[in-house]
Amino acid sequence: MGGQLRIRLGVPLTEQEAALVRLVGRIRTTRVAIQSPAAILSFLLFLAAGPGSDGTVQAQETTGSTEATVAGAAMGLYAGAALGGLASLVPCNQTLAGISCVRTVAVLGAGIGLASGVTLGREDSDAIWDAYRRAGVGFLAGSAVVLALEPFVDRWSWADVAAGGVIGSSIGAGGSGAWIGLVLGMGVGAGLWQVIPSMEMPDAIGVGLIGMAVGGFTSWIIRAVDAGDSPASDLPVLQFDVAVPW
Amino acid sequence: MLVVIFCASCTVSHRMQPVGPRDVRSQAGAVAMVEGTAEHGEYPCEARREGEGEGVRWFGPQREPDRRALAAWCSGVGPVEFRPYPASDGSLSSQPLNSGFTVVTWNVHVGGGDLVGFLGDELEYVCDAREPRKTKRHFALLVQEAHRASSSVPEVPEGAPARDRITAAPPDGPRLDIVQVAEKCGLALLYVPSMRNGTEAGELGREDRGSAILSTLPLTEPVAIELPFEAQRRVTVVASVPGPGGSELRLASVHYDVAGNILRVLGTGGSMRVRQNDGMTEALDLMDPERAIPIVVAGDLNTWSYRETVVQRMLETYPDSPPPGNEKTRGNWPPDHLFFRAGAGAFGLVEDSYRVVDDAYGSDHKARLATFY
Repeated sequence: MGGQLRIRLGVPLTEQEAALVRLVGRIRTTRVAIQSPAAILSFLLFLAAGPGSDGTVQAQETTGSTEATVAGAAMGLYAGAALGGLASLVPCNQTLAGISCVRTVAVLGAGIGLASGVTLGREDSDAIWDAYRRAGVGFLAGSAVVLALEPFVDRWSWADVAAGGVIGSSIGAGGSGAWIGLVLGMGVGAGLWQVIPSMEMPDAIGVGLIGMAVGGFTSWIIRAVDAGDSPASDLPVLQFDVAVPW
Repeated sequence: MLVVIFCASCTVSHRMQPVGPRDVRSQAGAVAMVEGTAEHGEYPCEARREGEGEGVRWFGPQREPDRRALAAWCSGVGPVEFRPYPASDGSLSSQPLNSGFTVVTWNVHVGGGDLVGFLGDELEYVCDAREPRKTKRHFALLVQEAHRASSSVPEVPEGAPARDRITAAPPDGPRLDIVQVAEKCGLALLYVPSMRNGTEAGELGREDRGSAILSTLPLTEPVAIELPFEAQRRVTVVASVPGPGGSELRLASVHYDVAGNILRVLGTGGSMRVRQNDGMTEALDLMDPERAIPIVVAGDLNTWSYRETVVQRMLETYPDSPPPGNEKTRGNWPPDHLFFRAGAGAFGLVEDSYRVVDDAYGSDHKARLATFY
């Protein structure tokens, strides 16, 4: 028994963007293979739960703008890279590839974030500015957490505070999905840690970070898809294939 | 964030070079000797390295920020302590080497670990000048967080980094520094301090701490490898012991960093220990490019899992190593490991001899040991 669950995520393009893509001549697809059973479980759990959707129907028409598109690209790139990098720290540092693995996942995450941010910015400026506000709150919260830890740790520096801010802002930009993913992921990780003898405590934390990333990306993608129209059949899409072995 | 991760690749270089009074520079594969470089004035700690450690070869990172940081930490430590010969004792020297050679790795928590008690109980080696020294087999101890109290340890220069003082003591018996243990037990010693143990003097004087090798066999070819800087100055201590038929076994006592700050962890993708290990491996390969000399590399890697990248890399570099195992040697963590490469030598690992010592003997780490034939 066994197989592969393939999930295709697509970002619709405008006519101008489609023309540019045709000019470039290639549409790239990116595949991600999730190998870890814990990651598979987390991924399926959070996709099924569909975290990140705001759950409200916009009564008024949303509009995008060039500024929001650029800002969305920047925020998506940043948050996607951060979420991908954080999620990959524990699993990648148990492979021979090490930092190469982390970089690969961070780049992949940046790509997903970039595509989502561009789409969202083109369609819904408010959503982008909301993401920035949440990122700002997240930065302050993350920095405050590390500041509060100062009396209790042997080594502490202002660089740690900045790092806490970076982590907090990427979670904030990811919206509720990231938070839900982090909490539920920690729970799943803690449970697996008790059940699987070879699993260490950092692995449990790693599952939490993976849940955070999955929830955050799902949140970005759902917001982007919700904000846009369905693509015309003759327009190309940027595709991301996620292959989950089971 | 991407910029941080990619720029961090600029700061994760582990390129190494020999350092010392006669800098040997590698240029496009060729090696040229350069006498008395101007760099020694720039980094005064270079001169301190010579100290009383006759003939100790030094290796260190090429990258300037690493060398500056290492020099700052080095400025507060004393000189190398190298006593190449064990105390003369007819009963011990007659012990045949082919009865096996035990290598122990142990982080002794800056005096907390009872080395004398450990030697007596685990290796049946009595550290008493009144008793003839005898043991089942020769051994070497690769020690981390050894300390030394001495007037040769200088005042800490203004602004130089110094760790908080650790004054752990064994549950039974006095707190002995590594030199006192070597003298009491009649062992050969190579001790290279890596950092200061507090700024103020203790009962027996100012202290520094670092890694060491103690042995019942003479130590030759002493080497100190300053590792690429992450959170603290780390120095790997290397020496050789003689084997049967004129062969030699190289020993390396290592101690890697836990982590730098969180930003460093994010920026390097968690590869701090890999970088330090890559630097050490490169230095060892500079000494033995053919990888022909049998070598045991052991110590406190500060790993949180036996599956960590650095452990996997070392298993590749030292393919004759025992399986790392998941035994916890410090609390709920498995930071201590031993690796072995037989090379072209006559040494081999005795099967099933690799184990964790159950009793921590007052340290916060348990020792690991293995026997070689």
